This record gives sequence, C-alpha cells and structure tokens, in this order.
Amino acid sequence: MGCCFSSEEDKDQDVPHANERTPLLDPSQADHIHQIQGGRASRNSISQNQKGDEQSEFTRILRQTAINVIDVTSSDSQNMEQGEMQDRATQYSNRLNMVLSASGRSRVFQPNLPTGITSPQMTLTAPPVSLSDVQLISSFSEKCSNAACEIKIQHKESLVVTFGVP
Amino acid sequence: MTEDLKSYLNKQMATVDNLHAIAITDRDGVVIIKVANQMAPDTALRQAFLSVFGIMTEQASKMGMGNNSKIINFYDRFQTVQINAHPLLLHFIADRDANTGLILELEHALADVLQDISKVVTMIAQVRRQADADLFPGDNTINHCIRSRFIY
Repeated sequence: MGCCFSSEEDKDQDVPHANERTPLLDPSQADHIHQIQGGRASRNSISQNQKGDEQSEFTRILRQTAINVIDVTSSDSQNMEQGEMQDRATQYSNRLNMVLSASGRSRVFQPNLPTGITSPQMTLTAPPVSLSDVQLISSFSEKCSNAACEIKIQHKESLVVTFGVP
Repeated sequence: MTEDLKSYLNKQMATVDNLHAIAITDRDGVVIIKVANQMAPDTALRQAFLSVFGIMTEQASKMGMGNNSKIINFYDRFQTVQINAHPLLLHFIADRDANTGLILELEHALADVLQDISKVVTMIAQVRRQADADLFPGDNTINHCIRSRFIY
C-alpha cells in the first residue's frame, strides 16, 4: 500500500513512550532542520548561522579581553552586601558541620616534624661529629664574626658631589 | 565538629610564635572558619580586608608569570601571609618579627582541613550556580561573565 508505517516496535527508537505525536527530529536542533530545507530558506539559514557565528566569536573575544584586563580598582564594586555575606557564612557553617561529621576524620594534633630529613634513622645512627671538628667550626665562626664586626668603611672622597654647579 | 576544628587550628597556631590569627575564607573573603587571639588586629579579619587578596591574587595571575599563589605583606607591626588554595583563601596574621617560613609551612599541616572545607565551598558554589542559571537562563553576556567571576 506504500505505507511507511509499521506497527512493530522500532528497535532503534530510543525515546521511551513514543507515540504518533513524538517528533522524529529533536526540536531543540532547529538549526539542522533549517539546513536541510532547500532553496531560499537554506541560504537564509546559512547567513543567519554566519551572523550567529560572528556574534558568538565577537562575544568570545570580548569575554576573553574582559578576563585578561588587569583591574585592581574593582575592589569597591566587588564588596558584597552585609546580608548576602551573612547568608553565605551561615550556609558555610551548616555545611561544614555536615561535611566534618560525614568525613569522620578525627583531628588529633601532632606537632610537625622537620621535613628536611627523609630517613632520620640513618642520621641518628651515624657516628657523632668529632670534638676537634666542632672546635674548628666554632673557632672559625668566631673569627668570621669578629672580622665582620671589624669591617669599617673609610671614605677618601666626598660623599656629596655637586653636578652642574659652575 | 566545628569546635574540634577550631581547637585543632588553635593548636596549629600555637606552634608558631607570635602568630595571632588563622582565617579560611572563600574567594569573596567570606569567613568559613577563623581562630584568633586577643593580639590579632580586628581590621585584618574583616571581609573588606580579606576579600582584597582574592582580587589581587586573581589580577596578579595575569602578569604573565603563571598563577599567583601567595602574597606576603609586612606592616609596621604585623605581617599577613595569604595563600591562594583554590577554591579557598588562607590568611595568617602575625607579628612583624614572626617566622614567615614556619607560617608558610602551616599550609601543609592544614592540607586535610583544607580538603574538607573545599568540599563545602564547592557544594555551595554549585547550588549558587544552579540558582544563577535558573534566574538568568541562556545569559552569556559579558556582564554575566564578570558577575559570575567568583562563582565556581
């Protein structure tokens, strides 16, 4: 009869509960419908698409430029209203309690160990530094300290120089 | 649970001499949790002061040297160490002569705390973003971009 309708269930149909009113093409993809219409409508849709592309590109460039601008004077405009700030602080407080109790992490305070040594047992089991080395370092550091204290600047020329005075 | 966290922060604060306050805020300077002793200057813990770092670290990241992560300020009597721990901001207020290196190390000690608080901020930001999308459907203008700059 030339009828394309089949009462059998279409296996490819992925829309659940499809009936005769279910559109075959997704109406949200209206651009594609415009594109497949021939002639003048097609040309119109292409020009519209081009215009839309230009607009979106223009918007994108503007947005990128606005992001890249270094503006340190905007601090006043970013100040929030007191009410909004308090609302958000309350939200944070409530959620923080929820998250902390959900995480179940007990925060036991442990003093920080220095992170400079990866294997402290190796350092601790190493033989101690000999007394002569300690004395050597002490005497040298004392001499360096004395030398640094004795440094004096002796200026031979005048520190103030006049320029351009006849 | 918040009290436990505050007590933990207080103990961490006591590990550094002359450290007077620790504040954890979101990008707009809204305080999520803070601990402070009596020596901490009140003005340094207000939102108006704390929010400035959020803007400054963002602007400083545009200088072509990568993302800015820390800003340290020295004043006559105090120093502030502010750390950009996305999506949080971490603020330390200490005496001028406090050990800055030890304060910076506290960031690592607070890593798991920051991880938990980050979840809170992310959750709230999602709720706000959803509410924003409902209010302004299809709004993709520059104003929207600027308005939602601090929303994650």
